[in-house]
Amino acid sequence: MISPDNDSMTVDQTAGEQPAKLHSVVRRGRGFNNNSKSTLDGDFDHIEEDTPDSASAPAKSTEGYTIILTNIHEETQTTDLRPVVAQFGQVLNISVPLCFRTGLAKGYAFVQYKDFEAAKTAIAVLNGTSDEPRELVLEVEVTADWAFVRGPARSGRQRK
Amino acid sequence: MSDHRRSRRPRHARASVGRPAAPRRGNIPPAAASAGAIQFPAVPVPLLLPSLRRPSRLVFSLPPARPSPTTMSSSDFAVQDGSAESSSSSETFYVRYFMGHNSRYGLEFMEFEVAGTSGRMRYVNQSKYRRDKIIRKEAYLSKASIQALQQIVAESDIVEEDDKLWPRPNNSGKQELEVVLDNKHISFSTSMITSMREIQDEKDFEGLQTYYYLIQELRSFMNAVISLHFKIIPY
Repeated sequence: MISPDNDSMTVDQTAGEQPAKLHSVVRRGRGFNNNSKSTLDGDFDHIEEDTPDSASAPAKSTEGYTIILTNIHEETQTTDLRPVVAQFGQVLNISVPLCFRTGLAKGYAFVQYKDFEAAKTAIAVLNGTSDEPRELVLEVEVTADWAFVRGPARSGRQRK
Repeated sequence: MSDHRRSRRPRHARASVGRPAAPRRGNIPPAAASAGAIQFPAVPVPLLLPSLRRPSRLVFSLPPARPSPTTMSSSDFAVQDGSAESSSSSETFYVRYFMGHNSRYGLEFMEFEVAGTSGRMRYVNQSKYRRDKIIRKEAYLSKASIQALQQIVAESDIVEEDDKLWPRPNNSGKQELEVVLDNKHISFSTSMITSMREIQDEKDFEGLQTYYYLIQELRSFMNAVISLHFKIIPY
């Protein structure tokens, strides 16, 4: 692991705003000496929900509801995924990001459904938690979940 | 005017209508004439594609085998992999990436950050092209999405690298990568690296290579997330 040398130092707390509650942190890199103004200030656009719900409830995307599939086989392609995920409802978008070293799937994928119910059914069936038999993608049991959650209630401006 | 335009039309244009396009063998040498007659490349391109699409296992070094798929419910989100890198919880995960440069129009940059505890994802893009306004987007990622991102960062072993020998930010631009993973907090800064070729002769080539590939994968993750969540389908 890391041996404490001149550039590494152990501190009690991380500096600045984020992430707190770290007791012993090894810090490294010359970016810590950077005192320039944060570019992450300001008002951020977000998608407004119609009904209030808990912070961990699934969030709506602009066009539909997005789910994430993990544990997918590395040779999975959009064309392998589409027939499986399209059974549950209208699919708007599928994204299978690739590993840049190998050119194969990185192990996760996003699927966007138009309807909430379709996405919910897809998660249940792909996880094997529904009454239906579990659906496999390339003979692999994938794991599905919502990709976005609502987070804490905000009072910022809406997205245009 | 119209006479001039008519005279510019090729003389054979009207004659070839309704006739299969045959090579005209007037004064053209036979070799050139036959070359002009070939309509398609000798090897059909689609036949080449499957082998490009799925690289052989022998040529590329593959990442370690994935953990055997197991059932996982959204409420009980535990890491399935037993390895040391990804056995951490998403409590202490944070990643921020900045790339930008000061052009004569001002600061043009792209930046995103993901905080693992809350799942908050923020994305900023400022381009001064034709007085573009700054884009600021915010969304909250689920634990499953955070886990996928954290696995990318953990597998890359970027927290073991150091930017001591990396090229410094210069006029062509600056990149910053800040990662908190487990009890390690790195904040690297380097110049714009747009291709592997640029880092070929660097002293810390291995480290820069790790960095370069991680950035590509972080960006493809964020690209997928942002385009799916915010993009409007215009039809």
